[in-house]
Amino acid sequence: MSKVLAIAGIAIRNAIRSRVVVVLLGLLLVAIIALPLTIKGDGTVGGTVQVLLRYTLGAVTLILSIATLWAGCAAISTEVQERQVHLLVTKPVYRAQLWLGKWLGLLILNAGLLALAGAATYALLRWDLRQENLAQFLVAQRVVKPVPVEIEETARKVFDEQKRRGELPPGPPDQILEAIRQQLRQQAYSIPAGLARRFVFELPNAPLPGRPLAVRYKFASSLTGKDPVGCLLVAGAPDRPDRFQKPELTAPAGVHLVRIPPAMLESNGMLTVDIANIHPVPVTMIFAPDDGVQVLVQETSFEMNLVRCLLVALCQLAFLGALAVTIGSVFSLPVAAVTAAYAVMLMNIGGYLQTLTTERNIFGSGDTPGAIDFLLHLIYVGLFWLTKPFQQANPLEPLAGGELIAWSWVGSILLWQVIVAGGAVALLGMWLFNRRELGLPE
Amino acid sequence: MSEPIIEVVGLQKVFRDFWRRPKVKAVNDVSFTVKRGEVFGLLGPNGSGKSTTLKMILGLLYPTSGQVRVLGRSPRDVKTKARIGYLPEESYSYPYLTSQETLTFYGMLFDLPAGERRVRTEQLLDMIGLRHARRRQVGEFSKGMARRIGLAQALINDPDLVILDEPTSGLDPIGCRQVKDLIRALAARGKTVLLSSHLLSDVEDVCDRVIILYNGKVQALGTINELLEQKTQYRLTMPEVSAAGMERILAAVRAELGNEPTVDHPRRDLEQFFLEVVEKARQSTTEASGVGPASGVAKYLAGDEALQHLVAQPAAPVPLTAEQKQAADEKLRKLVEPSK
Repeated sequence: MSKVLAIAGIAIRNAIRSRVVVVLLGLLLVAIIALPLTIKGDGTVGGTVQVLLRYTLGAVTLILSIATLWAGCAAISTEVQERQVHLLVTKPVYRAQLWLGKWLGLLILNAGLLALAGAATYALLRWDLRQENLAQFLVAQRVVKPVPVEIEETARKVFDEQKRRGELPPGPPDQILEAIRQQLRQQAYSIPAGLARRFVFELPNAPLPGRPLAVRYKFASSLTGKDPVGCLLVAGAPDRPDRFQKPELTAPAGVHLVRIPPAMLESNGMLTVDIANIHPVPVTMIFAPDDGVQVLVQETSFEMNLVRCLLVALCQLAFLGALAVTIGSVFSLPVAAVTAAYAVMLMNIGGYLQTLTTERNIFGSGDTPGAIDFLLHLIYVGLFWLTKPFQQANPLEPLAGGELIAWSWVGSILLWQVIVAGGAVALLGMWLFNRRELGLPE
Repeated sequence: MSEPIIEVVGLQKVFRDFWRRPKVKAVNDVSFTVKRGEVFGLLGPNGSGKSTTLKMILGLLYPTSGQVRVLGRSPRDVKTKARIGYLPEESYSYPYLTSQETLTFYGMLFDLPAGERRVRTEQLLDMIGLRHARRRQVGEFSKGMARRIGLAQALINDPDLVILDEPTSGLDPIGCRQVKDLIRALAARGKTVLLSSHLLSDVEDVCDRVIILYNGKVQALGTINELLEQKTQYRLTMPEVSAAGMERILAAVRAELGNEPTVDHPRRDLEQFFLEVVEKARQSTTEASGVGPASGVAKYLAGDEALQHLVAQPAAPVPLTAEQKQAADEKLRKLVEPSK
């Protein structure tokens, strides 16, 4: 391990003395200080907080990701080109140790820069909004989704009933069943004028008494335009005489937050929320099943959430570093950098690749897929599954949205991104580097 | 018979192009053995295959066929590498590290304890005359200074086998002399030295045996004497004699050979003359901007005290005191007496 640390130490010292770190710090400071001046939020304190967190930290992680890719590719390839590696590999050092040392140096640098950037962003946020009460915006809340409405069994019953009556529309049974599911889902999460829907929330770990609770909701309107819709939000056990009630006139675009007295939470950790559409004009409120109505429970301090967000970002940088060092241990610098950029692009179009895997008739000529369609399908499926473990989640969204970044999530990112995916890439890199002849003529 | 340190058998290296087609056969059926304590020279013109051979001995290239064993193991084995010191042809040090940090770093790669690392670093910096530049970054060094750091890093682990690629390249005559003295001092301690050089006089000065490669093949292999000695001619060196005495000697030679022998005055070695001039100049000044005064061989490399005394101040011979001269005469007399 001392050899790995020695190699990492040299990588860090070189980065500092070659002024790479100074340039990076300068770029990060420009992003942290100048970027918020050029981007306007929605004028509210909450909006400003979100913009500051989302865009400045987004820029910070982007700059560090690009720098990691470049520096990781250069870590070994430059030493091979300039032959410094000749002195290293003729010492009693395993090439795996050399690989690890380079990666560790990159990780330590990233950790330092990320910590500095995170602290600077937080300080700037506090200073910029020093006149405001930030307590309600700098939060870390657990997001609880409503207990899902049973759809599948009902859909099958409806399907069977229609089939028994001979009322099934023409078409493949799978598509008919899916259409029934969609219809039921829409009914379950829609509220026509004059009606109400009940959402039940089961809080896994009942929050401590008095801890702030809030309902967050967003909906689409059946009417075109952004005219506000009147609704009544009622929270608390249905048999309770003093249920919390709040009438709202809210626009369909945007996210709305209603604070709920903590006393409305039942002793068994259940919270019932009814939303009544009381708009005088016939209009239907349509909620998304996943994030239409959610309950937010204050869990921990914002500062701890920021630390966890930065840890997730560091895990992602650790993986990028592993990828770049591996590519750089096989190819020379320009080729390595282009290859790494291409690999990262593939990892970031996971959603598009998933869509492509569902397509059978890719060329769209004729009803029957041809050989090329089959081949392309295989390639897309292969690429999707190959890049799936490496696809990265964005920790800035929950941080900016005031949502809790749970330790379990940080742990899973550490496990899958760093240990599993990063480890696989590292093993591949070490194996390839070990096979490489380093004394070949130019 | 002393233990073989390097064994090369039927070594072949074929470089291939991008499509894996053979492009050039750089080394072709090369075999040789280097024994413990030998100073072995690897010679050849550019493109002869000596660098490729050296790189295969170091594990930087893999043989296409044939076998290389270094210290009884594969050259890629880390246990082998722990006993090797390598000075490459160019300075491949990190330019942003100071000379002290450079030596400390390479010492760490050999797992030297911190105390030992510090002592060796100090002694090596003294040995190469860069103590005053210990905090200067290697990137600011002249080529000669960088070579000296390269040499020091090759010796940090007190290696059993030292592989030196063009060790005197870029060094001034003082540095060259030091390196040659160092090589002899290492060999005297039973270390093995493999040397590749274009400077044939350097090789002739220090090597016990040489191999000459051309076009990837062995052209000659043997001791310096075997290869260079002209057994059909003699050279006679004697102290100054009178003109009449010389005439009598020449007459005797003419009578013996039947023709005129070549007679001239032996010249001083230019290297030795240069070293004397520089030493005089050095004694009259106190500041050094480049390489400072060197201190012979690092103590840990020189081994015992007697050897340290032998190799001390190799670049600047100092006249002996009367006592030292008497002691030396005594030793010489003892050495000569048995042959009487």
